[in-house]
Amino acid sequence: MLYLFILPAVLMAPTLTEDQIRTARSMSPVPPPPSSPTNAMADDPAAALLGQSLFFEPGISGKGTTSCSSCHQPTLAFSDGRHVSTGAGVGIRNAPTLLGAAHQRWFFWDGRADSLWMQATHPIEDPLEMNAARGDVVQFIAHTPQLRRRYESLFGPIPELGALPAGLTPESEQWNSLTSTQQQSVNEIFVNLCKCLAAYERQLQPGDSDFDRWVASFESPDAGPALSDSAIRGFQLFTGDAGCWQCHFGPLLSDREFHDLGLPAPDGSPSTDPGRGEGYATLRASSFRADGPWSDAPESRAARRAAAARIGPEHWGAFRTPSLRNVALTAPYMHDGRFASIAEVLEFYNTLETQARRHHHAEDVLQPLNLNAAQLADLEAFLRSLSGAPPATHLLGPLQDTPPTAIPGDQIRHSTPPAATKGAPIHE
Amino acid sequence: MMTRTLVALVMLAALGGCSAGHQLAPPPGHLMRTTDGQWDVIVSSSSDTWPLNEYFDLEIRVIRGPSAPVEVRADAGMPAHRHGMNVQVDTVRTTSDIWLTQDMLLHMPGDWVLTIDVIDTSGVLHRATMPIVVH
Amino acid sequence: MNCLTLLITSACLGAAPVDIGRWQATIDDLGDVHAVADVPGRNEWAVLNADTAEVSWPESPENPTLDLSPFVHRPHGMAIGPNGVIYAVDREQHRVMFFDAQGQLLGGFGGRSDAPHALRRPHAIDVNNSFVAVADTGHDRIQLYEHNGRHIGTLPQTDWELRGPQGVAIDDLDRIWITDTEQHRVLCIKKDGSVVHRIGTWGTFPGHFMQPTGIDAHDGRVVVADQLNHRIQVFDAETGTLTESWGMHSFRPREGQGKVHYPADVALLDDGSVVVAEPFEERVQHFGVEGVEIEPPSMAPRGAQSHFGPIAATSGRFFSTWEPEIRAIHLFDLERETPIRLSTFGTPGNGPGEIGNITALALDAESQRLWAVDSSNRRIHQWALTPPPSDAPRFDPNLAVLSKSIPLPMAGPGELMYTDQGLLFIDQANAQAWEISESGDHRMSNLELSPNPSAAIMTRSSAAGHTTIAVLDGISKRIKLLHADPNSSAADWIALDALEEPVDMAMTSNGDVLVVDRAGHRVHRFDPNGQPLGSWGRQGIDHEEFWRPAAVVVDRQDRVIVLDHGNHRAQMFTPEGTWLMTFGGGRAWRWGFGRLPTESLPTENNESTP
Repeated sequence: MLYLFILPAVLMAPTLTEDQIRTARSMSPVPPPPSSPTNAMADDPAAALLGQSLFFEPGISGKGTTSCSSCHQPTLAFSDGRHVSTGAGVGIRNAPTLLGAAHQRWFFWDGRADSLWMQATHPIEDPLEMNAARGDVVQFIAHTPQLRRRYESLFGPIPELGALPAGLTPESEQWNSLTSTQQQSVNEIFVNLCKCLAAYERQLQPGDSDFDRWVASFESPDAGPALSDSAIRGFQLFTGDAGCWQCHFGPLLSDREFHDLGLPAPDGSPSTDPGRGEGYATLRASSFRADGPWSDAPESRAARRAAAARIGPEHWGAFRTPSLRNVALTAPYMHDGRFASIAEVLEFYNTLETQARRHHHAEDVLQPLNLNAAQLADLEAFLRSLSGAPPATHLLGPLQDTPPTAIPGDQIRHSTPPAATKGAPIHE
Repeated sequence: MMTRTLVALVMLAALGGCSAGHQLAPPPGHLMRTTDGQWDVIVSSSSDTWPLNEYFDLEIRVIRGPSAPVEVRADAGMPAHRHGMNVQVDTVRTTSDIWLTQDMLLHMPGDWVLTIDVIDTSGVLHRATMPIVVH
Repeated sequence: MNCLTLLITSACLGAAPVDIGRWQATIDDLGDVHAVADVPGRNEWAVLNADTAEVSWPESPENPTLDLSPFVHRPHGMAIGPNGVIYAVDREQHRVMFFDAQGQLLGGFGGRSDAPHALRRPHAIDVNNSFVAVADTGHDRIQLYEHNGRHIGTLPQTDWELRGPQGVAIDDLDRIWITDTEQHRVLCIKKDGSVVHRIGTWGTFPGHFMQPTGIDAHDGRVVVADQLNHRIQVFDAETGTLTESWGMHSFRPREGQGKVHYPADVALLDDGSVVVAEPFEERVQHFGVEGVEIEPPSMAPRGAQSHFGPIAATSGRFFSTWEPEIRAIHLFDLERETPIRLSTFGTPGNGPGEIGNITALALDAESQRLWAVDSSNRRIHQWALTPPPSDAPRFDPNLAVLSKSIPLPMAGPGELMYTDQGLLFIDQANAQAWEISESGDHRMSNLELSPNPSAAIMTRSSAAGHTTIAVLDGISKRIKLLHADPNSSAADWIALDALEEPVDMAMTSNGDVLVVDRAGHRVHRFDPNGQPLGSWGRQGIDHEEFWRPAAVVVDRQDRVIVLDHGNHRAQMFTPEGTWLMTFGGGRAWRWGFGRLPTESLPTENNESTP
């Protein structure tokens, strides 16, 4: 028996324990997204179509050149391949994939939104992203016939708002010149649009991967190709000694919560990015939160759960555990895109050499893995097995009937044609 | 309301499991005794298991104590990691002896400890604990 | 003789947005320097050495050193008024004494009582042209006085409260800045009591505090010393936002040149520079606009790090201390030659059953109980211990289970002990003894304590011929025997005149008494008749050396464990003072495994056991 122990791991055919089989089953398949009670339009197909139109529509950005799809590109698993995203300016965070986003509990790396529709409200008005003002967005919709038609079929006629001043947000000086009814209407239309965006994004599910087919084969061996031995050993490490599963579990391979890994600032000192600590403060200050006035179910359990988050000192500098579904397609990695490859990520966890802690008092849960090269290769093989088929083709581009149209009025910006994307537009 | 017979059965079934080190099966109907022995509560969960990263509720029935508690609290933590839940839960009284904690969330796999605190009229907190394993 | 290391340079290393936090100078050998104060309008500063009760001017030697020792005992805070009047806070005698610029006593105010003007363990003071503010720590309030000591007001008055405030500063707008130490925040308050700013919460992130203490405010800046985060933070006085932070963080005692270790007080000078007092290091460091930019902190050593707090307890096989930095209690097993850490436990927080600030511990191996007095939460907590077999000790995070948490309004600094009658808490601030029952009832004991009870023990074979309680009075430097019989007066037992700062004591199996001299960095031994038998230790970082030792206990094997607070460790000796071992949270050193090089510390040494 002894020789079995001294054989290189690479020569050993992995066999699964009952626990490992149970764990694998808990990670596959990806179920449908959970319900979204705070968004009454969440599962409305017509709302999703409007959302899809908006998602690829640069006309709702400040300069008419940026759309949601600029940073969430269908060809890159709805990420953008950049370290940090570039819109109207250069952002500070890496664009996460939208595949499976509807399963998240919190949104953005710092959790500053508690619903998919609330998430959509941020980048539209973020000066570094789309840099628009909700008043301009509302005007754009009102003056774009196809979008207006879709909107009004869902929500009824857009009220006559008159000529809204440009750059209209609640923080702008002009906001107070509006009547409360006008303010309410602008906010309502803006929120409705974001709820439609969320309805579209809920359809962006991770597709079946080799890993899913392998797990399915437990029940029916003919269901699909088995994983490579290396990937299976990687799975065993991932859910075993390497401890990745402590935070990356479930079908999304994410606990959907927040952790501080001690990733350093560029000069090697502890990072000063507040992450979740500030994200939650931003969330609670927003009227778009799940238990706020724009929620469709502010008294729901979902809303109460979001309001009950506990923020402790450990959440300052913490970021959301990303889903590892399609991880091989969404480089670079970490909240600031600091690691170009999976191998770099694994190297960090393996040594923690660059980790920077602000304190030296606590005993860290995170410990160096000290894996050898073969084990790291196995882990990477497993992670690459999580790449799935893209969503249905009709979800990967703009709707064909929503080309930008000339918009009357000096105060309204002219949109530009959406960037060409792969995937055929759909026809209604 | 749980009958007296059922309470006795639950107590018999559960007391042996309260010793330290045992990993207890999930509720329904688990007897927990405060460490000082003064209070007994029966804790029932809305879930069949101790769910990993999924919300669940606890019903806490105070069945023995020197007086009526002023307050009951439920919480959970991972002593080895020195952190608790990522949610702040409230425990509310639903009847004279039944308390409800909604939306508990055990967000990581591993060894957790469920704590039930009974606060008496003097403000003294009496704690009952139960080790649980979340897979 | 002060050792002055001075470096002024315009070198700017790195691009961090440093404004006033560049290191300029370190001035060593200043003793227990808890207070530093600026002189308004003169850009000068002075320090107050608690060991000698002297006020000195390290960068202005033309000013005379003032000896305040006839009037104050180990003074803790200091402020200098616009007219040069020096105010010294005498924490142990609960009062403020003030002097002219030549050190002549002008008067005093405060005093321990329940009167509106009274003080209880005050820590800090500030003064401006208008009034004097004192951090009345033991009363959880700020006291306002006229310059001559006439009481004019108390804060808070409205819907906010303080918990153990240890720092106070008056800014140019007569607003009062307070380090609300045990609530881990800084407050800015108007004289009418209205709140301008609430800054911070417990934590290590920029803008958070673990233990804010010293504070100063001028010219739109507020500078705060955070003792347990080992750093200085600067805030904008108008917005309350963090503008600068430095000093974080000294990973080892004695590190300096910009790295800060347990800073206690700060002074913001007229030129915008900052002087930081570090009593543990017996030094100040001067920071300013010009100087050496402090390098970013290096990665902390991995593994179990411990900062043993200033209290300890032992019973049977157990030894316990606590670590303020993580607000957790450590429990060790003493059955083997090397202590084994059995558990680290406790939930930090400000609710019932959570740990805020532990000021006293008691262990009872027989009932397997540990009690802790929590001054932040005004409670006493009890844990039930379920230790592993003594022949197989191992770490278990679930070993200690909180059993109960009892409201204790007088929870504060003191001594907690098991007596024949049950649990007894000696309340140091009020010089009262409280009997606490298992159920949580507490009543004042009829024990007549000395006025300043620093420590207490149960005697096993006392000079009085029967078991009683001995109380160490840190001011009169006496150990007195108490008698439960109210008709019997307290009796002097052991004179400690030769000691500088006796803070704790323990008793060996044959009745010898061991006393820790914190400022003297030594342990003294007396026989049951109070006769000195010798002493050991000196200031340093090697084995058998101490850096402001804080506590002593004797285990059932008659081994003496000294909490070497300033070196973040404990050391074990025979009753005669022969060194046996040094241990910390995760490692221990003993003979046969090599001695530490003098520049090294236990956490860096690989020659460890087990």
